Amino acid sequence: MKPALHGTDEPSEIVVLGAGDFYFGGGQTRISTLLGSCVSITLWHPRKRIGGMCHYMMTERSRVPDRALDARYAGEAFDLFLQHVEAAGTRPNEYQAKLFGGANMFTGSGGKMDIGRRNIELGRALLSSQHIALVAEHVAGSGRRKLHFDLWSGDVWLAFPEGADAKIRNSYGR
Amino acid sequence: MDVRSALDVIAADAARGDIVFPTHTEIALRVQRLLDDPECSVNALTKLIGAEPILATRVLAIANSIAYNPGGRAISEIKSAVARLGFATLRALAATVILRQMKDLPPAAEHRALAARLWEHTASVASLARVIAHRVTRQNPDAAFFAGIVHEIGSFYLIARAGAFPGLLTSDLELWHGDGEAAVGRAVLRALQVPAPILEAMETLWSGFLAMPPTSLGDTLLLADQLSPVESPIDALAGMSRKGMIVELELLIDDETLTGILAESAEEVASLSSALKS
Repeated sequence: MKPALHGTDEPSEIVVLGAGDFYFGGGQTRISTLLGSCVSITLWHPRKRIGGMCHYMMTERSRVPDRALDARYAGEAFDLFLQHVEAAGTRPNEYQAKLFGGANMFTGSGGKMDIGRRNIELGRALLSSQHIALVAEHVAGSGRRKLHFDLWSGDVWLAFPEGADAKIRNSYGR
Repeated sequence: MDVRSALDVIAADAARGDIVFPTHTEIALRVQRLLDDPECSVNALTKLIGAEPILATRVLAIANSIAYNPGGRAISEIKSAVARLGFATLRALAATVILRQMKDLPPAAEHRALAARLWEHTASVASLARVIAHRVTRQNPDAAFFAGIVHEIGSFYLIARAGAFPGLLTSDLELWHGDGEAAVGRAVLRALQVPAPILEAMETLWSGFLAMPPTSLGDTLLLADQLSPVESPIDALAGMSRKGMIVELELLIDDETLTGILAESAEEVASLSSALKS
């Protein structure tokens, strides 16, 4: 059986992100997730070969001082990115960003801007605010997206649309 | 309707090589074999293509499309068209004849209508794949065009066989996506002696994983499939419909954007797609 991801090395570690999760690191690590109206941003530093992925569900909430950052919200997930970027001795504009998800999972929203659309637009604005190059995006539409991000190469692999019962099942994500 | 059993039977027949192509595809198959011959001459090809009116018409239409004739110098001789197109494109056009005749095989009108919509999708994807290969993924445009032409061949075969399984094409075909389509598609493409790089691209298509940014021939095919404004009717049957909601897909390619490249190439894509459908 041919592996689902063509031409890739094998990961030594697989991190599966659920909604509201965040991961930043390096090495032979693959980060995988499944998206509907949620949005994932991948950041990758091409020289240091480190990076991370968030999977946020909503745009923002009223912040309470001293409360821990909650990666379910776009603004706070992005703050987590900025903390890790600084801790790694790097600057935001040294990273390449890719943006995924934000599908319209519901019909008949009565013309109200859907949650997927709001998630996409805030993701773009946050990246722009830090002058981070957005090199690829695959957003909107209808349906689930299955995503793999290889930290050792910066490669992102995307299956779209996936069926209603799509799950991240194994190392190949099938 | 037991969809799984029906699809298993169709896949098993295809795997046994039990594939019957329409009778009129014989010359198209002979063109494919002649193109495989290292001694193949333009004269021999011209003679063979001239004997099959559908193929001859298609060869002239494509040779005069903007994609292959940006200077607008129309030609009306098969021999000049063969020289302009090259052997790789002729291979793809021979495949179009086989597919177009497979499209007309089903006895039921609704199945023929489904196949006609699938052909519109095929023409759109093949035309887009050629441009994407040239401008985005830097793959061989002729190979991408050929891959686009044959990328739904498994579904054409499914529709051609559906008459034996009443209710199949009104059932939920989610099982078709993935292993079912790949098993049938592989068997049909092997029977047509499709080159290995095309088969490899098809494996990427069936796996469903698009590299972002896209680089390979398979990525070219997946990208064209996702960008095509004409959705496959089989996707809708399999619960994979886009429901009219457009995917926003953007890439930075050197100093250009994917959107900009596609806008510049729109006329070229439209002319090729139109020539394939005519």
